[in-house]
Amino acid sequence: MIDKELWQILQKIDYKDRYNIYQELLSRGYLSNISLLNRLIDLQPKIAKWTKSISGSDKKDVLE
Amino acid sequence: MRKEASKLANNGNCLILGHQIIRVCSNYDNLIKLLIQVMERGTFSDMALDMIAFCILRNLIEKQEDYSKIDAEGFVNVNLNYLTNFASLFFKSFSQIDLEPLMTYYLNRIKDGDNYYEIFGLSTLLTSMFGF
Repeated sequence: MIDKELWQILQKIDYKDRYNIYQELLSRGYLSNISLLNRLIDLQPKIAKWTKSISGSDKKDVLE
Repeated sequence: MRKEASKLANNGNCLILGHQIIRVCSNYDNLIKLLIQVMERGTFSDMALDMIAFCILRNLIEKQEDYSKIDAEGFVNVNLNYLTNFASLFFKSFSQIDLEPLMTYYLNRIKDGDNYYEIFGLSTLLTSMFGF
């Protein structure tokens, strides 16, 4: 729900400012906020697992 | 798979997922269509898709040196080729996503000169967007 409201605000601002926010979120946001950092640490293995699950067999084909 | 992707993308961490998607797509071209299909039908919110557009641009900027290298036969970097294919399919599938940042980047790089490989990206993008 909060994502939708956040997007309502973000989509109205210039792309340079919007991309600055994304960059800040990546470079500083996660490191300065302990709960975000926790979430990031939790999320990374889940993302890795997800990409493996969709690509496991296809990757093998490419590598072979 | 789609449900899991939706959960990962729409909890405010799509920048991390986007980075991973771009990394995978720039290495394995057979996964490009699959990943686009996963993102379709409302799985990813507009904000998540915009974050992926940001990740595409970020990857292009971060790896400029790698992408500028040509192989022995004079072809552009294979990873750039895959990334451009992904970007063109992405912007064609999600036309509501702001294309201006990427176009501005390409135009500025062309103005700088000596960046022939960027023209390749722009050409692929335009060809795909016009429906070829």
